[in-house]
Amino acid sequence: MADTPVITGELSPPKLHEQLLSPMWTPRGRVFLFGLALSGLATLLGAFAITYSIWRGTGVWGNNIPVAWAFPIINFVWWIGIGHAGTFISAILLLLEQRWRTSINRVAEAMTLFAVAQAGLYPLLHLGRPWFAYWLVPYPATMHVWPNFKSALPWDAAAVFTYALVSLLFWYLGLVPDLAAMRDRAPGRLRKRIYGVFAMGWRGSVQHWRRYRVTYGLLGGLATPLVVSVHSVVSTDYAISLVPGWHETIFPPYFVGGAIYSGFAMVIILMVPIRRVFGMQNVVTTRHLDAMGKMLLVTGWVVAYSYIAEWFYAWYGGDYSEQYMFWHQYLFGPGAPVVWTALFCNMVVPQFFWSRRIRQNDLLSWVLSIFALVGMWAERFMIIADSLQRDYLPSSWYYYAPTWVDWSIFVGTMGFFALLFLLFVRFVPFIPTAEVMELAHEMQKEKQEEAAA
Amino acid sequence: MWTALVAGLVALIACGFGFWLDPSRVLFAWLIAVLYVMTVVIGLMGVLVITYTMNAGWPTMVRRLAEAGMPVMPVLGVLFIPILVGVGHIYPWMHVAAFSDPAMHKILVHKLPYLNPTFFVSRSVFYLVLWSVFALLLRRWSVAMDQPPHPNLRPRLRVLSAVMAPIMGMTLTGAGTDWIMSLAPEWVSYIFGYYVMAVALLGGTAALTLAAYWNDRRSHLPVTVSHYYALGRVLFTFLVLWAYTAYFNYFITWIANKPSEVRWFVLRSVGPFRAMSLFTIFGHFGFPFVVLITYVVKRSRGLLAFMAAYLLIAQYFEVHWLIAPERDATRVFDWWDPVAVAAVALLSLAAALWAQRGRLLAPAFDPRFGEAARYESW
Repeated sequence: MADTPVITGELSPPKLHEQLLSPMWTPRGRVFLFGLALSGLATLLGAFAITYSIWRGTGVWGNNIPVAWAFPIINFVWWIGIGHAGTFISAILLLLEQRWRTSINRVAEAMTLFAVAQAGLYPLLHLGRPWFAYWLVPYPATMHVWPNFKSALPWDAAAVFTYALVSLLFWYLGLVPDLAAMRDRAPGRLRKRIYGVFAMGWRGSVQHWRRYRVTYGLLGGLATPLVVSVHSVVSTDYAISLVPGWHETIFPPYFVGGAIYSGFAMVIILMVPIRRVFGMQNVVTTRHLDAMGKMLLVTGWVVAYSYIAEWFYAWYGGDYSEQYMFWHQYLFGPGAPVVWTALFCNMVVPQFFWSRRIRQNDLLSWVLSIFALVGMWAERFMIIADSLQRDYLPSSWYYYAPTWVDWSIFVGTMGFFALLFLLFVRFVPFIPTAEVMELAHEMQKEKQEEAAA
Repeated sequence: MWTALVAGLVALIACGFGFWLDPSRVLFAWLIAVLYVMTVVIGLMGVLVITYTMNAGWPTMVRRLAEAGMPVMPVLGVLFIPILVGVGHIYPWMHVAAFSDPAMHKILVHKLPYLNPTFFVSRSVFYLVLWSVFALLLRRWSVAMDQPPHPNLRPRLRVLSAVMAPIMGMTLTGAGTDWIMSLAPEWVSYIFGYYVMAVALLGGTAALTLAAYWNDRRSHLPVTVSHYYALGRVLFTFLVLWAYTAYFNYFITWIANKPSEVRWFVLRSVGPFRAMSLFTIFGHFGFPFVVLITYVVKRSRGLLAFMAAYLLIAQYFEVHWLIAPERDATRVFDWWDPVAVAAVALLSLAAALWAQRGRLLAPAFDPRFGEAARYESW
């Protein structure tokens, strides 16, 4: 069975231009406004909970020794993991010359930025005194006090900040030709002026395109190691310790696999409604869904393999605490439902993607992707909260439960993510118009060559 | 082929004689040699699995060269028999004396359900038979496309590869644990499966690049600069992947500093193995990284072939470094090491050449071959 092309239907430039750019100035309906209001309310709830936490102190959270890292770090790792698919699609698939990245890379990159914004919030709040966050930066302090580079916290700060910066540059650079197109086509002077400022004088000359290509390639090369490095660094937060369930050399590849798994799940969750609501089925085809489903299957196997390896080696290593953690605490302890949820969602659910029919069915892919995101959140809960609840000293065992403030901040970050995303699809060309047009041109040329041959 | 076969047989007879003199020394050398060649062959299988699963077009040009390594797998299975027979000469958990140390006693008793001769041999036979069957199928179905009516078996090979990919990953992890990790029974590293996979993929790609160059030089195969460039990129990727797993294997162990784990690295970072550890960092990773990252080298036939040959040799030191310190931490090499590696490598080469005789050097009837021949990458 032949693969569906990455663009279907008529490939004429004016029609594509109109289709891809007009959503920016077409009035939005009630559903959009309802979504905006809902996400805005959730954001307000989060903002209130954050203010309350700073006002009263971190005692309002469920964290307590020995579970000092709980919701804030679980949600930090979850969000930063989600961001990975954006960089993977923009950088690695670009270097691998994969055509199917073209229609979805803008949404994936935006998702990365918005997810990193949520992720970055948590370690800052978790500091307890966020106003001292600048201590993490090795600035030339008068007292010559430097961050402790043996602590994982400055590693996280460096990794996340670099990631956010490169992702922003990559996203913005790709946007410039489309912003210029918006400047030239958008109705109304105000819109033209605003898009014109952000287009930074792009005229689409040969020289502009040459520089654009070189810079885009360079940024792609720079971003590629970031896909792996960020979550590897995050994983060492745990692996360098002696906590049972944390000290595992497999953590870096295991975390990276899980991050890309959750990231692709989020891309599917965002792309499926977009292609339906805006009628983009001709540029986000079943080929894209198929490819993303395969990515979920592959990365799901990376996660499943890592689970099998860690459960086996926990026994094989012979360390009593490690065995207790994996073979008792995780499976039958107080957090067992969360652990079984993780195992089901991350080991069983991806197996559905063996079926091409399921991969190409947008609704089923969407539902399965939600399971994947739930599974990855449950996995982070298992690793962080469940491991800390019962460590070496039974006298200090503690049952962790999040408070309403924890939940409110979490709901707030989801709301803020959704709000940013809705604003993004309202004002920014969410399908890379210039790239899609170029691809359509290439495909048309290939068709003509084939016909001539 | 005949030269390799005769020379390999002579080395094999020498090893047989050595076994009669000092079984432990020869068996250790034999284990290093067999696992070195096996990592390369499994790497070739890995490259085939990945290219089929990803439905990549360009590797079709060099695919038959990787497939030539497949009939070596059952040969290696046969060459592994001495290890299974002499397991007691190699693995400390087989010795009663190892149980006399109280700390070791506890750990060995714990691992007894897994590390015992019957289960160890059964698992080893299972891995070797499974890999052999898989390797032979990969080659058989591809060669079948050469014969009229030239059926398109690519979809079948793709399904087989996709199904086998996780199975290969897990069996390779099991084999790495059994054959290498259990040499130090108190040691455990959770990343070891990924580590072994990365070692294999790097060695397999190096061997494939070298084979492409060899056949290109003799004008047997129309390999273009674009193919070399693609092979160079894959080689570089696997070099980085291997370094990534090796680095975290070391770093997480070092920083946590658990006595049961650091012993493995202490053995390799002090004494005679220190030089080999430094070679791993600078020779196996640093130098090839700096060279292979350049665009020019990846597009240069001769330079890329040189780097592939270099990495193939470095791979031997890698496998040696993983195993030899458990034999004798005071001595890096044994006189039997080169003899054993000559025997295994030459017999494997002879098997590959024998299986390839009379066959097409490229799968010219594969539906993607035309695309592979036209492949261009800048």
